[in-house]
Amino acid sequence: MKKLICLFLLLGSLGWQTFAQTRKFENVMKMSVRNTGYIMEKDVLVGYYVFYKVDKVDRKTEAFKLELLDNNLGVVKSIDIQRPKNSVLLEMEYNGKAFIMSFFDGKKTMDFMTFDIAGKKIGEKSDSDIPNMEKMMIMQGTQNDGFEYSTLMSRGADGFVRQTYAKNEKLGYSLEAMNNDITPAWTYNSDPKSEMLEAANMLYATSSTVIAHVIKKKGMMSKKYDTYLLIVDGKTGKKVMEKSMQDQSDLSLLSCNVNEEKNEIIISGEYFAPGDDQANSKSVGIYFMTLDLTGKQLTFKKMSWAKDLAKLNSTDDGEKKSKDTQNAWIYWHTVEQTKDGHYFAIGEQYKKTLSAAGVASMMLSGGRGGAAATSIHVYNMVVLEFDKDFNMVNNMTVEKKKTEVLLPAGSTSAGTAILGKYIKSTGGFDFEFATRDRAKDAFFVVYKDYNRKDEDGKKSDSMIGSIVYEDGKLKTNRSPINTEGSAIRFSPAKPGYIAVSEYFKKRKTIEFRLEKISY
Amino acid sequence: MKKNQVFLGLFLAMLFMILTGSAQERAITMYVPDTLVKIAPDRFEKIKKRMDSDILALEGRPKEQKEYISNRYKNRLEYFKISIEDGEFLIGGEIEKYLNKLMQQVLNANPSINPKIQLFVSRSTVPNAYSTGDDNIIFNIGLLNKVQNDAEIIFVLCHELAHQVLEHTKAGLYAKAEKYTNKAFVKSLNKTLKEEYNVKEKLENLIMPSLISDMRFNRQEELAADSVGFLFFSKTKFDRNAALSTIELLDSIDLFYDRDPIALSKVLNCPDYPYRAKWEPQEHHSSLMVIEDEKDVLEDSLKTHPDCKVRKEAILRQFPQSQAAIGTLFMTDSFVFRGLSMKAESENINSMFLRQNMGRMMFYAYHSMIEYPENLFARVYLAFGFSRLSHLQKTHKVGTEFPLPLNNYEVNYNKMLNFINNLNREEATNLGYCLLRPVQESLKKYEDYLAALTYSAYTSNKKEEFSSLKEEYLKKFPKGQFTDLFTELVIN
Repeated sequence: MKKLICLFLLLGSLGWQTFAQTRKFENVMKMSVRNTGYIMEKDVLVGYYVFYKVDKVDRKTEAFKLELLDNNLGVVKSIDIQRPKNSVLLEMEYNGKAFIMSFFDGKKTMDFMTFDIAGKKIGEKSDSDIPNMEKMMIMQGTQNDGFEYSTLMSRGADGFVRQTYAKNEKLGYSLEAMNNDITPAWTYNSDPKSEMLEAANMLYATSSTVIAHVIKKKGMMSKKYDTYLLIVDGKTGKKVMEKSMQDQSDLSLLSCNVNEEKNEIIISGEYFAPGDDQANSKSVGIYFMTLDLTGKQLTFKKMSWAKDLAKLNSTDDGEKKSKDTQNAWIYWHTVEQTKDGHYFAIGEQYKKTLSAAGVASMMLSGGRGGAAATSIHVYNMVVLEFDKDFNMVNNMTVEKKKTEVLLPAGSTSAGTAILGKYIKSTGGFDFEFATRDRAKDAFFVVYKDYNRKDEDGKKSDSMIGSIVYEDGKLKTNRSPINTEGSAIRFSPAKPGYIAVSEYFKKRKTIEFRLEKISY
Repeated sequence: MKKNQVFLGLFLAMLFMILTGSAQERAITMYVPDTLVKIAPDRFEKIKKRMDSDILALEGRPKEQKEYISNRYKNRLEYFKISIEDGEFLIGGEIEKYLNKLMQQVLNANPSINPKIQLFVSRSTVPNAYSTGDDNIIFNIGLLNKVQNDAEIIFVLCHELAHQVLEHTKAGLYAKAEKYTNKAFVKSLNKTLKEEYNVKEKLENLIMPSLISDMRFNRQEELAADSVGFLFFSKTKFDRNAALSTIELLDSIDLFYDRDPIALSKVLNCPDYPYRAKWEPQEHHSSLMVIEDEKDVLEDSLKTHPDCKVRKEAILRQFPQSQAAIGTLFMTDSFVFRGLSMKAESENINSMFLRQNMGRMMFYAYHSMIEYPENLFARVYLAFGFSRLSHLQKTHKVGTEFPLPLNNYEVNYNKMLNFINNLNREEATNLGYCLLRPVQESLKKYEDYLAALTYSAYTSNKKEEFSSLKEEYLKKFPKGQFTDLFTELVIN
């Protein structure tokens, strides 16, 4: 057929049946969580990536394609990459100027590659001297398609910073900053002569500041550990301060947010009775602390379960809420701050309870392993609103269906903080993510609800709940999501949306789409 | 002083003409879309007969080539069959009649062209026209609302008729059959497909040279179609300059909807629900979008058409500039043509409605309201879009009918999509409702108007109003396109 017009017209500015929010990738043999992900720039989601094999180059090499999508799932770039056979993508990070990808060759080497936003390779580095602990974690993790590896953070447009282990006298940690071309910028090592085992988990990084959560313990088998908040200068790698998270007793560290406009760090967690430690004891209450970027403490507010938070156990009419959720603990997922200076702490209730499945498992194993006799029940979402001085001005409980998380044997006596971390690490909480729209002074919290029936009693394949702060008001909503795929996964999207990826095994296809969660 | 008075007089006379003209044009017009025709036995039979004779003409060619070409002919017939059954063509309506009149003018002026050539008007909103090589020409509705006069339509038709007369489709198909059924080519293709390594690159190396040569050939054919088409065109009564303006139009057609900044406040002007500053549409932006746009770096060797500048120069060589102004731009007059353009705009809206692409439908409706403020059809469907958005927000299915912005969409369309996707349910509901109020009883005879009124009352949860409008609709249009929908809708 002869066409009158130029080809570029046909390349398509006009959409037909296929809409922008659905993007399909075919010939995908296996869906691995690590091969798809979202791309953040500061705390704004700017797009997604999909990494998949397209061809075999020779006996030892395979050809891959890295597709970059914008935050509406429009393809903006495809990058061709060749990798040795059996190499796996561990993670990808973007800093507004460059992308970094890390790969593991399946044996002993980690490779790092950086690309500029036009897709040109600007740096490459191999590291065959990975600490054994990290190698072990990668080798175990990559056996599992759901394994998400997170050791790289962008430090503004200057480059990236990687957390790894250090071969000190005992196990230590190292923060390694690199430029966009992967040349080293600085390295911060824990004390090589430390008598404690030390490990760090980065919480925040920019070109000026890197914040990490550090734990120290005497030996691998010791239960007790100490928590520290570490602040490192992002330009030089010099320590700004290391704060021991102690008051009258331990302070656990559950969430860390940074208000960049005010240069303020907001941390929260639980506090314990004098003499109690976080590994083995029940907490007395929760705390919120703000610090400046030099680590100077600005505010510190404690709230006890028994007194200050007792209202969470009763309804607005003063009646007691369901017995199940009475005295439940709260795991804080995030603390959002609005323009009026108010803080919104978003958490999820959980409580230790006797488990029928755990007891059966113990009886069958003769008490030698399997699951613990207790399990964790995860209950409702909780939102606490505080004024600028952390006085609670409002609280909201968003009901959702209870779920159960089995605990490993031997964990029955573990404290609330450790149990909370355990549930978080195993994906046992229903909280999915929080996004924010600073310009509109809005935030969106998304969680899964296993009560899949909507208000009209109609059942869906999945139910997504949202807690939205918009126009100065808190709103909640539940959205049914239906799928015909063999696997479904939710991931963050631009504010007000959720990204849904479905894998269709028979068709070997991954489909991405965006669903609006707030109206 | 006298001079100034003359100028003032002329100015006032012009102002009077503009004002009276605009008042005349702004009389409300409700377009009634062409009936959805899904059968055209005579036309289909004609295409089938032509295919049979084309297949017979293949006698004597090698078996593989015969099979290759026959299959393409059968695919072409299937395309027509499905398109007719899907209501893809506007058959027998006003627009088709108008275009056929224009086509007849070309045929009358050029007796050498087969007078039995059929013209189909497609509901496709892609600005395009094409010859299928079997005495059929397809003109998309998406091109019809963009041409500036009848003369430009005539040039497009002449260009496509030239492709048919020069048998470009047939020649291209025969050449491809020879190439792709060639034993050596098939052997190397099969060998490549069985290889283990670098299959993709090897396939590209095998196919790309042939593809580039096809494209080069295509570009030569386009210049030939321009040249012969211009000869046909110059025998008509139409202004030859239109050939050049058509090429220019096609060169900038991607920018058609971006000529002026979007101004939603001009159309969302309900007295009871005024425009809000927070609705002001924002640019679609992502830091990843600074990545170069691939379509701009498309290799010249892969373009199907020559550069528009080259085409223009080639046409200019065919006639002296002194003759350029000879001829007319309109078959009747500009007012009649304006009516056709407005109908084409409405059919673009209708096309997107039928395809359930509500985002595009609302964008075309907005555009039509700006260009043709008297077009009530556009207002009705803009309102319908808001009501639909409200309903889909309630059922969490917005994504099935409303796209999100994409970097290769028009700037204004992306802004409109940003605006739509940022509306909350209350805003969408109110906009859908207010755009059609106050209700005009005299317009309720139009199905689309009454349907949009009914649907907006439903999404606004106005029980009594919905119930009475629903009853009225079902009574007036028992077999209407919304009858099934409204029969099921109930406000509890």
